[in-house]
Formats: sequence, structure tokens, C-alpha cells
Amino acid sequence: MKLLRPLVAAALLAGAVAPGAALAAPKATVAVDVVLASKEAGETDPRLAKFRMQFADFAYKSFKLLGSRLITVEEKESARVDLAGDHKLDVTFTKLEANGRAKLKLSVPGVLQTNVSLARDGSVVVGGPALKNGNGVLFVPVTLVEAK
Amino acid sequence: MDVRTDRDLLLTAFADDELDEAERAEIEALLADDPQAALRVADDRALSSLMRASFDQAADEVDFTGFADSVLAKLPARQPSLASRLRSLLGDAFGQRPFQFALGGAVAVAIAIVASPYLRPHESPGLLLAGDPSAARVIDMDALGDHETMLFKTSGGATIIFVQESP
Repeated sequence: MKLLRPLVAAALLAGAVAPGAALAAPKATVAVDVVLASKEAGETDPRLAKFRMQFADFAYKSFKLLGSRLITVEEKESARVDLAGDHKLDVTFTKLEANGRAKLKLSVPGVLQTNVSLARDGSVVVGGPALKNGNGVLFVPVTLVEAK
Repeated sequence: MDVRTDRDLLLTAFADDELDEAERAEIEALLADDPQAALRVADDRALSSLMRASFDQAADEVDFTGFADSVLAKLPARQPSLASRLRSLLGDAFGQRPFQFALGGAVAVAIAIVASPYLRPHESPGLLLAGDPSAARVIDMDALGDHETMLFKTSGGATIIFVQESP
């Protein structure tokens, strides 16, 4: 009887917790960075050294990191990130796939809408259009940090 | 064979403004009495300025972009050993007050361990762009308004959706 009590208590506790865990919606943690690329010579933020190498195919000469955001979005939910000027990026976590990849819908209102599938640490870069003031082009790397 | 005398050398040095005050005064006195020497100095000065102008022009025609970087890249990296760097960094403090120094180090390590979960900066992996093309797949993309889209895979492996205004 003494042995039975703890077992019953543990079973009750597990029963109380398990449904909550099973019903918790998957979440995706996404990094959104905002980079201003310019064709004019200038300094490049040291944090963007690798980014610059990846962009060696293009004629941009300097890169400036305008901001970085780390957002967590529940499945079927959206989060909005301010880019620069009036530009916004809406990130919707549409689905957690069986292989652990996350399907994201990325939308820049009035400009672009796309659906992408990212593995952990996978990135897709949304770039352009050229800014109105002629001061360069925004590139926005969107990276899946974690999805579970 | 052209043998240059001390006087020739002094005249040339005078033309190039390389003499000290006493020598310059001596040559100036000489030039006042010797028109041939004065002509020689004038010739030397004209030749010098012509050569300088030629070199300047030649230098202007050469693109020195990245010259300093390429020279520095050829220099072998020289770095003192870790032991000598630590010695120069910590030598005084450790030599004078070893106990206080060790205690301070231990406290610093303890603070770092306790505080590390709160101090971890957001180092975005997005900026690293790991470059594995299979990690990113574009399912579809639609331009809105007066825009058009292009999909790039750079040679570095980055997947880029580029938007531009329709012409």
C-alpha cells in the first residue's frame, strides 16, 4: 500500500501535465536581420563579413546592419517586423513539417508574398526593391533558429 | 669617364635644396661670382622638376587600389607566444599581489558563470548564411503591385528572392 500511493500520485500528475504538453502549439523561432547594401564604397559592419562574401556575385560594396530581431511565432500565427522606412515584414509560421522543417509565409505588404520551407539554420534572403532615396537596397535574411 | 668633383656634388645638392645653412651660404657666394655655376644650378633644378612631374604622372596612371592590402598579405604573421603575451599582460599584477589576483580571477569566473544565461547576446545565425542551399526551399513567390520577383542562388549558397519595380 505504501508503494502504491506514490505511483498513483505520479500517474495523476502525468495525466494532468500530458494533455497540456500534447496540445501546445509548435513554435518557430526566427531571426530577421535588416541589412542595407550600397554600391558606394564604405565600411562594412564586421558582423556582416560572411554575408558580404555570400554577396560577392553582386556589385554592392558596403553593407550596414540596420537591425536584428529574434521572434517566436506559434503555428498559424504571424508576427510583424519593422524593416526600414514604411516597409514591414509579416512572418507567419504555417506548418511544422514531419522532418522538422518549418513552412513560413513571408509577406512584405504591397511588394511580395512567398512561402518557404526552412530547415534549422536555413536562411532565405528577401531583397529589394531599391530604396526611393537612392541610398541602396534592403536585404532581409530570414533564418529559422528553431522549430518545435 | 665623367668624374664629378665635390663642387659638382655641392651644386647638385644645392639645386635639390639638400645643403645645410653654411654650405648653402658658401654656394650662394660662389654663384654670385660664377655665371657658369649659376647656369648649372638652373639646369639641375629644371631637370629635377621635369623628373618629378614625370614620376607624378606615371604614379597617377597606376591603380594602387588594394596595394597596401596585398603587401600586408605577403608579410608573414608574427605573433608572440601565448606565454609571453600573458606575462606582459599579467606580470605586474600577478607578481605583486598573487593572492588578491587569484581571488579576483575566481570571483570573475563565478560571476561569468552565474550571469552567462542573462548576458548571451543575440548572435543571429542569419548573418552567417551557412550556405547550405538545401536548408532553404522557396515553395512559391508572388510579386504584389508594380513589382516583379527573381530567385537567385548565389555561388556562396545563399537563396535570395529579389524584388524590383516593374519597368
